[in-house]
Amino acid sequence: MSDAAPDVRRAAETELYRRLAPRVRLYGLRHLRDEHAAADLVQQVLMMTLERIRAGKLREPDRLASYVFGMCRMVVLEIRRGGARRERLLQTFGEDLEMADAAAPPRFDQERLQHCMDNLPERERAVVLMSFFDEKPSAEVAGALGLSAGNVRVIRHRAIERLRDCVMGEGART
Amino acid sequence: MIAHACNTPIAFSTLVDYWFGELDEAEEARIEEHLLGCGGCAERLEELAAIASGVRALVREGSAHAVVSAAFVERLVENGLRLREYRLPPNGSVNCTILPDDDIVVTRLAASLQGVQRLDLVLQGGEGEPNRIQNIPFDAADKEVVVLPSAKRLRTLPKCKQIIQLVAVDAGGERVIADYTFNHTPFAPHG
Repeated sequence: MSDAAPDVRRAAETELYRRLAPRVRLYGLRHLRDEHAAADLVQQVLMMTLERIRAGKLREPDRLASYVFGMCRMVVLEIRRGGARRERLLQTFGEDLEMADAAAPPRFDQERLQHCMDNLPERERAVVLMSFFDEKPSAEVAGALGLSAGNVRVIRHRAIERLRDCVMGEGART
Repeated sequence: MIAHACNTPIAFSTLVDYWFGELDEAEEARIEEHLLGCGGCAERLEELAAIASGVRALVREGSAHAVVSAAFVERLVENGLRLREYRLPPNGSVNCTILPDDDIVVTRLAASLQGVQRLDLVLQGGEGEPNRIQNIPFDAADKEVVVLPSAKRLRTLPKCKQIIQLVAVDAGGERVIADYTFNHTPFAPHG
């Protein structure tokens, strides 16, 4: 990609961004639990990745996921420390890529979700609500509801499978 | 590299454990590297993330209802939600409403729950059959049941009386622990 004509290079970089941005965003949501911070992570990690590709330092496609994983870990630490490499990277790449909505989350019908939540057994609904609201591990939810952590995990798995089937359709199960 | 099809898909239950930070460090790293290289598995995690986001939105917009913990109510307030709270003793009653500025309403029902094996909540109101919610979560040590009703539904209620009854259930039968009466009046901007 680093030796390609500008148009070809740009299209390839945009495609790479389109594919990787949602995955990096998920990593960010999991570790930073914040949409804005996750969006920052996407921009920083992918710009650093593209910078490396343009410099010809990342030529083996098989190593891309490993490299991006390493960058994600490093930038999450940096974001937690309040580091700011973003501005310089934005100046280099910001106007060159069409990536405004590349990491936009999928949407589904909130009314459908509410209907599915309403139909969960009370105990499952409580566990789902308390688990997802601030994404606490099972031990913390368990203590608050007079349940064991193992019990919460079982209830949570069952409830989330039910919700997913209800919201996405039965075919979602794998 | 960044394949979409996957020969070794991660089980959805593992993705759930990953999302809630329940995996050990080595397993978490393995899953993360796989997710960054695998569009199919990442898509399934995206479904989970979307449900999580949707559930949080239901709570924030006052559509969610559940029996929750006191600690959870504290976290709602810490997250900036405006709370209207009613505390009732056993067999107590209260005049209640919901104002336009209220994000959530919480009712805290004091009750002696020592030795209770299963707890049901029966809601009586209007002319319909009582609504019995079986096996609600509770911690006997808390000496209360915390109910988060749907604020969205409360806003639609006319002036009415609703009674919540807590019922203990065990092998020997059931017994009413206490009744709690809510005399609801809808918000009247010029009343």
